[in-house]
Amino acid sequence: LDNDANQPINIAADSLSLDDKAGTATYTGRVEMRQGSMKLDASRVDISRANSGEISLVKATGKRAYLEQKPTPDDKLVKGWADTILYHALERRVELVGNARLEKGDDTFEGGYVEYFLDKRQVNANNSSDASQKSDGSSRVHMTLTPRGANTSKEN
Amino acid sequence: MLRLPRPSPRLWLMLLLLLVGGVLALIEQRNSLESAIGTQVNSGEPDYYLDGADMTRFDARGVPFQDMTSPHIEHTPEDDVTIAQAPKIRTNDSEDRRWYATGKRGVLSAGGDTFTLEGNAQLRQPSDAWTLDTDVLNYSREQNRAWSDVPVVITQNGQHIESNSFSADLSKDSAVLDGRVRGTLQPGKGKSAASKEAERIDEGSDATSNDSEGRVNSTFEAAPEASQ
Repeated sequence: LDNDANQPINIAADSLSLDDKAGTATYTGRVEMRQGSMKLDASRVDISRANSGEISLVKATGKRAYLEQKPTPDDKLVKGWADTILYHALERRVELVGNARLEKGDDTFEGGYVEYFLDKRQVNANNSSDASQKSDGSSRVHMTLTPRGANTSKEN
Repeated sequence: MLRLPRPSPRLWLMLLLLLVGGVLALIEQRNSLESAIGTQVNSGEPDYYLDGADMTRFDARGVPFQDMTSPHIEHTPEDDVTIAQAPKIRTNDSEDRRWYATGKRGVLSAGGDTFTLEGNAQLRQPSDAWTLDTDVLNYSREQNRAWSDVPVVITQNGQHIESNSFSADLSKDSAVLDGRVRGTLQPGKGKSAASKEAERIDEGSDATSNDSEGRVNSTFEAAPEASQ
């Protein structure tokens, strides 16, 4: 949702390692992170902060890490899976890297790399990530776009 | 997160060094006291104790930088343990920020390596509105490590992190919180009104504070005459 970015972040994990020299916090073990409508589940989450103290980057890794967010109260959830999810908090941008899949409404994007802009709701997908082999061995981007209004004709 | 959590483990754990140093200063005093007493001590009995202890440490320029008060400190020769009841420590760190440490008991182990703050142990650093609360906080000089095997809560500016245990390696400036880690972080936390408020309150509470006997204790106020 629009005000997700201002919401407190609740996080739960098995363990937290703080490295003050690097300025990072690493959560490991069944990590669950919630911020407003945004939800992130992973086996490891690294959080970095900008000098201003704001959270700048959240890096989630897992078999696969999962992210969901509700763009607006009326929209369907946007769901994303990848070996690595990079959430650039200040830019409100998400990168799904490796074995990536994004479901946005009735549209689906799969490939080595999918990039999603939370506020603009824009999707970029390409197969640039080296781990871009899809299960069927192809390394191309696969998109399934459902024409707008297709659902309404099916329902009438 | 808590600016993850500022300030760094080394800074706020250095306080424990100062705390240990505070108690150790008593140990050195003991040596002179002991020779003065020189009597046979029954087992379990202290060979010396101090009531209403109020210790101030001065820096090289003679400026007081650390205070520790305790209604009762005693040392038992049988196990060479020194125990300070309800220690209250106030100290400034290298960045001249004020710290407070309190607990029901401060225990310095035999040989003086391990120091334990027991019973509502709390480290507090008002200017960053930063607080660590646990029931038992241990520190080993030899391992240069501080740890707690019981739940810990670290709070700062309306953020908090808690876990079942905690361990900080002072040489690496890192800490691990382990077991059921739960936290609430603020996405972007500069110096909030909360920390300014906390700082204002603390400046006020420095002037007078009641100690356990209800005496108004302004020890922190007056810079003691350089008795040492």
